[in-house]
Amino acid sequence: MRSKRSLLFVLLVVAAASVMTYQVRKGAIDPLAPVNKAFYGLSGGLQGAYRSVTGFFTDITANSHRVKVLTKRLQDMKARYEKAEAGALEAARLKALLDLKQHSPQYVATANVVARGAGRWANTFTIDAGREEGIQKNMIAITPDGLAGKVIRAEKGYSLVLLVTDARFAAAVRLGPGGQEAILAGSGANDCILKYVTYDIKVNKGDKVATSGLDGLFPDGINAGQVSKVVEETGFFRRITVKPAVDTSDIEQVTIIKKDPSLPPVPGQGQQTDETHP
Amino acid sequence: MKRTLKFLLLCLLVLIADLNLKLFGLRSDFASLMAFWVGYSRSAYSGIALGASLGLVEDSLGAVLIGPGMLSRGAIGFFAHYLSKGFFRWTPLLGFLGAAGLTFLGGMTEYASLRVFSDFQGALLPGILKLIAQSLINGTLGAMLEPENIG
Repeated sequence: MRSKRSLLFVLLVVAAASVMTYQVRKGAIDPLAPVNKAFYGLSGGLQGAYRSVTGFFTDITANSHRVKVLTKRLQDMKARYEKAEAGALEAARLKALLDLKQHSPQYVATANVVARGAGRWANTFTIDAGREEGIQKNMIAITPDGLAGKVIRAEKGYSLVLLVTDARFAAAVRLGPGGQEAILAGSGANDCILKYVTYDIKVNKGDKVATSGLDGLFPDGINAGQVSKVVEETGFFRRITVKPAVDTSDIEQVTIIKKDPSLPPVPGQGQQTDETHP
Repeated sequence: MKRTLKFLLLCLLVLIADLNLKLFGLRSDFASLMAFWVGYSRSAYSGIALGASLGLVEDSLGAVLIGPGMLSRGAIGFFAHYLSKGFFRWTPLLGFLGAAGLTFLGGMTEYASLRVFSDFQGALLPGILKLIAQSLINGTLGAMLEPENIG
């Protein structure tokens, strides 16, 4: 058995040596030419398929890279756009303030908000302008959007402003197209309420609320907000919620104005403002 | 029948891989590995027959000289059988050493055949380095080819 195997191996060696010798003498032979052709065809087909598959994944990789690059570029552009948009808004705001400064005799100062009120229940902020800039207690803080609040304390170098949303804030206002009078008060949260509006007065959601000037403190016609909710309650008055014209959480700069000095002071002004002070 | 077809398909894949595949910049030599595996797990006849056949086809596809591949793969199949006999027991180390050693031996046989029977003038040292790398690859694969699991 073992000799048989050895014989087989010897046969292999002899056969290989013979074939090689024959080729050396007579030239190359190719007994498997038809098989080779078929094999090359198969191999070529498989290679083509392989290239297609790898090409597909290469394309995906390339596209993925391209998507990454474009996404980054898009993000950059978006950031630039947002920056430009913020710049445009800032420019519009500054222009509005400039217009107010140039055309209004009520203008006192423009100031930046430097701090928010620290109290849990207080809706106040501090501005970086004080008595040196002519700011006094009870002056009005506005933004291009409308009424922001009023000055409750003016010191050297800074002032404290009570926001319209503070529970201690109150202002005489006119409501809607009919011009019904009411009192706008802060709710203590992020909105205001309209006080003393009876059921015979028609109030709709979205009605504009503006100062009336009848309290002798706020000039007439400052946009204070719009009605956001009307609740029918039992009692003498309606409960009306007003969304302030100014987003009180996002105020960066305010203009301080005073009531038109040409108008006579309203009796009882001091009494009312004292009540609204903390 | 089904098993034969599977086996033939495997042979075809081995040939296609050897023709197309490159591992670490080196052309694969799965035909040697297959000859080793068949020679080890079956019989010397099977090893010689399969090895010589694969070698013949590869020589023919190489279109240089028919014979060296046939001889080397046949020799691998033949000697692989002796590793399965006597005091040798299958371990991954034996698989590694057997596959790597026989691949190297087959390569050297091929080199010698080409040098003797053709005008092949390839330098020995770079050829040996390539052969060692091929042997290591085949040895690694050979360590995983436990005959009981595969056969």
